[in-house]
Amino acid sequence: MSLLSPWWLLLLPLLYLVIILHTLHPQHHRVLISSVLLWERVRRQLAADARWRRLVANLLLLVQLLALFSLILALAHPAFLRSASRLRQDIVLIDTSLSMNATDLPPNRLQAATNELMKQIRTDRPRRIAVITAGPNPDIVYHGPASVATLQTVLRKIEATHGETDWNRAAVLVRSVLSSDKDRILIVTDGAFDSKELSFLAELAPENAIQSIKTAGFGVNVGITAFDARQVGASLSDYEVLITVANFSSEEAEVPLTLRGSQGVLGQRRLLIPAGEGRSVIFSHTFAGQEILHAEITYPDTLAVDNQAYLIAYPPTPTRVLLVGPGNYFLERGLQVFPQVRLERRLLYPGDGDYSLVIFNRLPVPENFRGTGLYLAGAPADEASGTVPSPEITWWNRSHPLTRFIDWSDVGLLRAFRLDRQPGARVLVESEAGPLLQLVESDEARILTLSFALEESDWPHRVGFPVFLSQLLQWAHPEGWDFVRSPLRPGEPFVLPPFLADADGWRGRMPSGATWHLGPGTGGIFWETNMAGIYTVEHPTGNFAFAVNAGSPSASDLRPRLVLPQAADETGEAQTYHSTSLWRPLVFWTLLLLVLETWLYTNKARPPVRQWSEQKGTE
Amino acid sequence: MDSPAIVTLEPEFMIRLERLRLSPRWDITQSESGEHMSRRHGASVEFADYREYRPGDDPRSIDWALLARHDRWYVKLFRGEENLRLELYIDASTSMHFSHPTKLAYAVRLAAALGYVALHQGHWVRAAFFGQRPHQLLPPLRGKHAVTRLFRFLALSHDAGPTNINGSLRQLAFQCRDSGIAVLLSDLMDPAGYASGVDALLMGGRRVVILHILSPEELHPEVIGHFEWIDAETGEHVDISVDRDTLALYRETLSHWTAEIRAFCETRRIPYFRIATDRPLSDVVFHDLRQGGFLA
Repeated sequence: MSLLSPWWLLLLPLLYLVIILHTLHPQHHRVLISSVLLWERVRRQLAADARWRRLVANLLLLVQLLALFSLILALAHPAFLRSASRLRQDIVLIDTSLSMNATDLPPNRLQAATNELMKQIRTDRPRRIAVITAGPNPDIVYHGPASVATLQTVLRKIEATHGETDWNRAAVLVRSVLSSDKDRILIVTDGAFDSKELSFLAELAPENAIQSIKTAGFGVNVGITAFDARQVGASLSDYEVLITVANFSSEEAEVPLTLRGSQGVLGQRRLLIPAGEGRSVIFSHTFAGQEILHAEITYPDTLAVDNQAYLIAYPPTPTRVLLVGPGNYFLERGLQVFPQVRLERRLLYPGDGDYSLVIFNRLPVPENFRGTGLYLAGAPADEASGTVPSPEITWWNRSHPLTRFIDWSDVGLLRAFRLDRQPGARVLVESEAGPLLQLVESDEARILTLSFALEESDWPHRVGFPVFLSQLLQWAHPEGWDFVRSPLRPGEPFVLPPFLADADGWRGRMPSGATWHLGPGTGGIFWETNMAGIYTVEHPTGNFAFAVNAGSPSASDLRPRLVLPQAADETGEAQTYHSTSLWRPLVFWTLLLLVLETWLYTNKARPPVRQWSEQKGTE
Repeated sequence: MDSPAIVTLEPEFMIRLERLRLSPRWDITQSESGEHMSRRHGASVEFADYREYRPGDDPRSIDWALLARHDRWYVKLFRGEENLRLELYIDASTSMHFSHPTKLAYAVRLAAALGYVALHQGHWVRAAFFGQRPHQLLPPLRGKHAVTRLFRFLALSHDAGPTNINGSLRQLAFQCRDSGIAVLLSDLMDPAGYASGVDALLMGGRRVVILHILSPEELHPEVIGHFEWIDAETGEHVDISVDRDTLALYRETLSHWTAEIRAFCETRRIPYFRIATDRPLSDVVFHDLRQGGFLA
């Protein structure tokens, strides 16, 4: 409560005046009278009622003091001032990216930031609050009244992830909780990312409604920002292992690097990395079977998570391909390029067999087909549909694993058979004649249909053809393609192989040791990869693992780059207040007190009725 | 207070008084009044005086001879009627010397009027002032010629100091053992009370009348403020803050006090008259006392 005219309080000494007036005795008269017989009786009666009279007198004084105080207080114009912040909603974006794990602010940047946030909330007391964790997988963790106790519980449960923030997804969540243009967007972050990442905020709220609580320290970090392997030479097991270590401090760093495999230490280097630069190291390695490579640097920085990284290798399994129908020269020659392919030929489809890919050359796909199939159309599926001569390719899917990296625009076709669009079919390449390459997927089968004959086009002579076959083989049988499974970025989903599922779906363990479970209806897409480390998938036939590595050139850089007004700046500026005046109720209260005072004054000497029992004076 | 040599009453007032008499009805209505009347007629055949006839007089007492000779209506007064004695006991204590006119002055004039009525009627009149004790006593007088002596005596009143109603009345009752009508004129403001003194008068065979004289200041005080009341007789001090409510309490106390006195009188069949000194004396005599049956 505030007083808008506090100088009226200078009248408060009048209260003393009231007290003094009550303590003053009236002028004393000495009067000689005939007899005090009656007055003595009156005095005795008054003495008997003294307690009552004193009470009434005190009550009168109290009421008069209260009335005067209320009047002075009303003149001082008291009012409840509520900050405008208490009428608005705060949308709090809490950065839970990798850099928030830095320990340059104890216990870490996230905890320091949330502590600062609680101070702000206690001060501002917004009406409602929405808390969004902005990590690799942003989430709304609270949306409701700004209860301090509740928010403390919510904030205590928030942990920093090992990945980078997906600000685009965070923006979607912010948009979903925005209620008015008075909402304030508060970003709790260390600012260790580029300001342009937050360009979406300009569309959501006015500039002055976007503020930040920045808690960045001056921590240094040296981290492994890349760890991968590539096959070299003709052997499937020969690899080059690439490790990149970056120095994000302001001084040159000497960093010991160790690479370990299942056989022990595979290599060691001592890297001298200038400030702000990175150094890459390549180790040659031949995989003999399933193996986990572990790269580690030893450096006393404030972010330990990116000081190690993992790479997991599995020996590829042969890719069994069955060609059903007449031979196809281009196709057979193309498949023979890939050493892991085991090609078999049959005139008719046998109906069973554990094949990774079945190619139906000018033969229709059986209705009961299960598995992955490629249907090469040699004749129209429907006689009535006919063919289209020299169709021009008009569009292709540039992101699909089967058609990406291929330039379809110059592919020349003699003719193409017209394909009907099947329900649920996905067109990957389209021409004037309709779909040229179409994919139909179901739970049990994946059938790819090509609507032209290879020998009636120049496609087999182009670079794109072996690329297509390579992508087709990887898509049909990824386990037969490469030893090394590239590690995931934190937050990146992992598609679990169906063969690792049991009746209840998939289950396994997190890097922390906690178990996870995915039901059959989830499609085997595992999203809980926010923490770096090795995730295992448990199966009766054996465990399968995949790695998530934290470090990256952007995520490992702890230096603040974000420029936003600080939320604390608001307290230093002129704040907007909403006031609720109290002078009217006080004046009403004063009037009530005056009425009470009048009633007490007029009735004060009316003690309780007593029986007149004194009989003195008759004797 | 400078007392005049003689109490004076207005001539018109005195003429009107001559038409009054001590009420035989009031006297008769008492239990002993029948005796008094039979004794007066049976034994008192001795002529004493004449008086003009007034309506209500016994026609048998009319002197028909005088009527025949002078054509004037007179009644004969016999010795038996001379036995009626009116005793006027006037409180002359300090408390009676307050107000204007003082309560004492008012009481003296009232006593003069009553004495004049009695003397004019041919009764014996005795008077006394008292304070701490009786200090002035007028021997019994009778006859119209005694009016001057009575009035001179009443003019001798002076401040008699503190009051002692009980003691004074007991002494007066002892000094005069004859039965009669004792009239007490007092403000009754004696902390020791008045009951035993009045009872002493009653035990002497008297009929007692109390004329309670109070001043307007005592009946309706209209003062506000903080007062130290000083008792004129005892010197006692009473500190009290007087406001409207205190005055209301005073009036209530006064009412209770007079109710006590009235109740005391009713138990003894004593006529009680509360008289304010701001009332005209004629109103009191011709209205109050007549209505109360004391005068007729």
